[in-house]
Amino acid sequence: MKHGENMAGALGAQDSPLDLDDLGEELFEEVPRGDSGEADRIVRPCLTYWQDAWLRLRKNKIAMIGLGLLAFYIIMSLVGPLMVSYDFRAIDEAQMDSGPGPLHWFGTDTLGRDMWARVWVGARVSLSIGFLAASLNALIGVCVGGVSGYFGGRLDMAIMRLIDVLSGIPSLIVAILVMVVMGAGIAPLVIAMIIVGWVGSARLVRGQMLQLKNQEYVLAARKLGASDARIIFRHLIPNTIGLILTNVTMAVPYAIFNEAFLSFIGLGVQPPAASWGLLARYGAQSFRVAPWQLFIPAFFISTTMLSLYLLGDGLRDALDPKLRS
Amino acid sequence: MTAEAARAAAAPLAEARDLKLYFHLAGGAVLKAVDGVSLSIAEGRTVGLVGESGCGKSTTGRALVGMYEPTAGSVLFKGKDIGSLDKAERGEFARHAQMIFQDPYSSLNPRMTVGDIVGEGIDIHRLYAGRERMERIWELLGLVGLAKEHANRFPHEFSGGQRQRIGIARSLAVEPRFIVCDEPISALDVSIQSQIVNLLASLQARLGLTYLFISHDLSMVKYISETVCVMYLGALAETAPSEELYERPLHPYTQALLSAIPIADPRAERARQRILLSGDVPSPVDPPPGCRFAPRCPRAMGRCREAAPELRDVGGGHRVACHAVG
Amino acid sequence: MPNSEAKGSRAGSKLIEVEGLRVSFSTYGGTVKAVRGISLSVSKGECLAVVGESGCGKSVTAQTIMRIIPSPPAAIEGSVRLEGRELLTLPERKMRSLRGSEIGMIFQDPMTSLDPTMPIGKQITEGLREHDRSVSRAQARERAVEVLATVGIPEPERQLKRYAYEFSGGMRQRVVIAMAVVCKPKLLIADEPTTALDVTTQAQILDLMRSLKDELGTAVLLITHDMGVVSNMADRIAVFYAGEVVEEGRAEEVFESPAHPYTAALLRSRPRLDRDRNQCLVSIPGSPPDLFAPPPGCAFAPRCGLALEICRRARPAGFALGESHAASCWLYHAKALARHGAPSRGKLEMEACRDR
Repeated sequence: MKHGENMAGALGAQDSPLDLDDLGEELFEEVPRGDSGEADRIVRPCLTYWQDAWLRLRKNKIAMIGLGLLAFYIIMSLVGPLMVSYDFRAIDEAQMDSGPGPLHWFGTDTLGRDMWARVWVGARVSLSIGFLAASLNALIGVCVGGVSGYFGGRLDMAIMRLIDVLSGIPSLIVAILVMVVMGAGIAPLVIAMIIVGWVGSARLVRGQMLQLKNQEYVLAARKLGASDARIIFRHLIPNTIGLILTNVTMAVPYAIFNEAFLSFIGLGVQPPAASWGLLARYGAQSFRVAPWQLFIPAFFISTTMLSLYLLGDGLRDALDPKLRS
Repeated sequence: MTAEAARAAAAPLAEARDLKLYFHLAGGAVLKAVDGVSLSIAEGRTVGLVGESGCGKSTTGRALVGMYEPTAGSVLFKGKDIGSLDKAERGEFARHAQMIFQDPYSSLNPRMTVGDIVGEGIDIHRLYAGRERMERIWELLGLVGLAKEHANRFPHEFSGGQRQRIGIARSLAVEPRFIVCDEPISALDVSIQSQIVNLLASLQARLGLTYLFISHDLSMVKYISETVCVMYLGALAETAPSEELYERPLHPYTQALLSAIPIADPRAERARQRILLSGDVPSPVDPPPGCRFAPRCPRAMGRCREAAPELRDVGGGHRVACHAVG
Repeated sequence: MPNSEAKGSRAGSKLIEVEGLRVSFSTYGGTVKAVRGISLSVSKGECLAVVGESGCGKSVTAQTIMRIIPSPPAAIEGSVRLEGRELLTLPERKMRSLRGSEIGMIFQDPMTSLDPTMPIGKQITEGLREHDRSVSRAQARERAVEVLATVGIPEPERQLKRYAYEFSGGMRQRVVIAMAVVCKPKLLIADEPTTALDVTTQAQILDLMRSLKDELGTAVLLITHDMGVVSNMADRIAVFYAGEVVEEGRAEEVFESPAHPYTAALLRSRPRLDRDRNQCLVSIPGSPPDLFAPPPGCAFAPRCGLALEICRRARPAGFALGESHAASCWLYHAKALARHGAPSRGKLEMEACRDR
């Protein structure tokens, strides 16, 4: 029995800077009992939910690329048309169908209109319709899905059946019907997109409500006497916002695509306004002669959608409360 | 003293009388979660409710704070049936009967600061405002061993034990008299469990609280409670003062439960005689008639499968529900 | 009562030897040093219990022995030897043939260890035939029935066709145990095998595991946080804290004379059923350290009531307290012993946490 013998190998290696063969006596003094609060102290700085989410998003390079690209496009949509002297509607018969060059950076279309200006003016329309439609869908979806999920029972069943019916209707048919009734244009386009489009976020929010309303903190709030309104606004919605934001971000590309498609088939944005879909429509007509007229708007549509998906993916991870360290 | 006050003073603080909670499942089956439970908790005391999964202890606890409405039977608070209270009394009951939950990771809203979480009860009932409110919140945090600085932080920055303390502070904010602790330590590490248990005991001494301590951990329940009630599949098997239950367990289930609990002492542990039950705890859906424990009971007789035994007094505050006893 | 000195003599019957194991994970928030230099060994036929609370590294250690931790992103250093063979550098193919046949593993949640889409009979026979191609279907089926009977499943023939969801928790865990022992492994690693079970079911499962160990001579590495379960099964104990082994010894030694303040506090923080209500429960204030940035000295020092100056500066080595008992604590350094004497049980328990 050898007390104090140093079995360096048996219980683990050590990596201290002290010289273990010559430890000073003072090292074996008892440490005076200090504040025990030290054991409870929190070391890391305090971050709100949004600060934490932003830091996490920043670390995700791919999401940041998406965000950067999107921001770039938004800025260009505002500034781009101002960078050239041409008006996007100005017809120039001398310059019809000319390819990209020093005069016209993106070339011109069949009527000699500057593509650069048209692309960026079109960006304004496409992006704003996309964000608007996605946000309206989310807003309606949150209200309907929230009420349905929280209150449950017959109300929930009725709403779910309505959602089932609406999901079954092809959205294109709805869009055509709306256009027939209201005529073509931006407002009917947005209306057509939201009539059926809110269903996805309603389902999502309802699912989240069903899950959250049985969480113990909701039960605790109820036990303390919280009213339904307080529970919905202080407990359920703040914990759903992350999901909603991600959902909106992922819904925008879908809305942009819808607008592009409907404009492409002639039902959406009408001339003289410009949108990427409309540009693609004209571009397709002169595809053999001037392929850039189709490629350029198509390129912007695709890269915008891609950047939004990348950003949305990153947001989903950044906003997930479970992944907080 | 009015007749009503006299009645309230003499009665136990919280009581369940032949409480039944049945849930109807899809497909017509009936889940008899609680099937005729009667127990009472005197003011300032701790009663422990122990049992394995599916025995209905959590459901009983929730019914006692008014979270579930009884299918049959009654829940009484200060001598009055809570189903017959008027609006004002109902509000008072809701404040005075509080609950501490099991999972420290889902019992706090991750988007609220600790200060707001603890202060929620204060806000809902408008007990304090402004500076006073903040001071009351600090006071509550101090009561559970946390610091003022913690009020600005978020739940995810705290450990399980600290979160449970925040949950305790939250329920203390409305100045309750009776607290149902529903498995408050099961999700915590062993060395933290004793922190919380010691905290609960000291709070009881300081504030005169009354507890119903629900757990599957009989060692802890016996330690913290004066009286222990053992539940099995929705019914009470046995109830007695803690020491008495350990020394003279009469119900075969209690005996098996006690013998199954390992003791942290190798020599004692290996010398023990075990009573091993056959099979697992069955599901509480559509139970067979007669005593719930009969299928696994080493002492089951014919009578046991015909009629469920009543809870009978055998003296000294000890009651057993078993045909083979007394 | 098992005589661990005869079986576990340090001479040559070591089945598993872990030396200087270090495991780190790189995550969003930094590098987590989950295991910070542990060494332990399990002898043939012996049960070593690894005890510790959440985050102490016990599960990670077990999973590293089984090589089921993907190695990037984890960084693994050190050595794990099975009967002299180094496992950490073994090619995956060879490791696969070891798993199941020489080392069996039981996890905490039986529902995730069993494939919900395959009848249990098939899961057992598949495991058998994977490790021994010469076994025919009929033979494998017979063996499966045998092993199900051994683990106490009634009417094993009929149960072969059943799916996992048709069994209750305790029965499922028995099936998992059957799968783990069907190839008669030399070592069984059980990671919290009874934590998810009711206490009466737990007693049955522990009983089963003990009898299997005695019958088959399997060594068991039992990972748990429950000291009661440990005292039921273990021959030797290793106490983990913050990724290190803080104490190690025979079960009786550690329970009766715990040397490390953490072990002493842990033993006193649970109420004993056979003691009255006046027993005092020790509670250790604070929480285990953040493994993103473990403290430079002893990991337990911030919570320890007996801390010395050196405890904050340097990590203690293991100090022998007997032939088989060792503790990683500066209190047992020659100079500390000379100055303060060996800490008594009373002092350890009462002072193992600050201001009780």
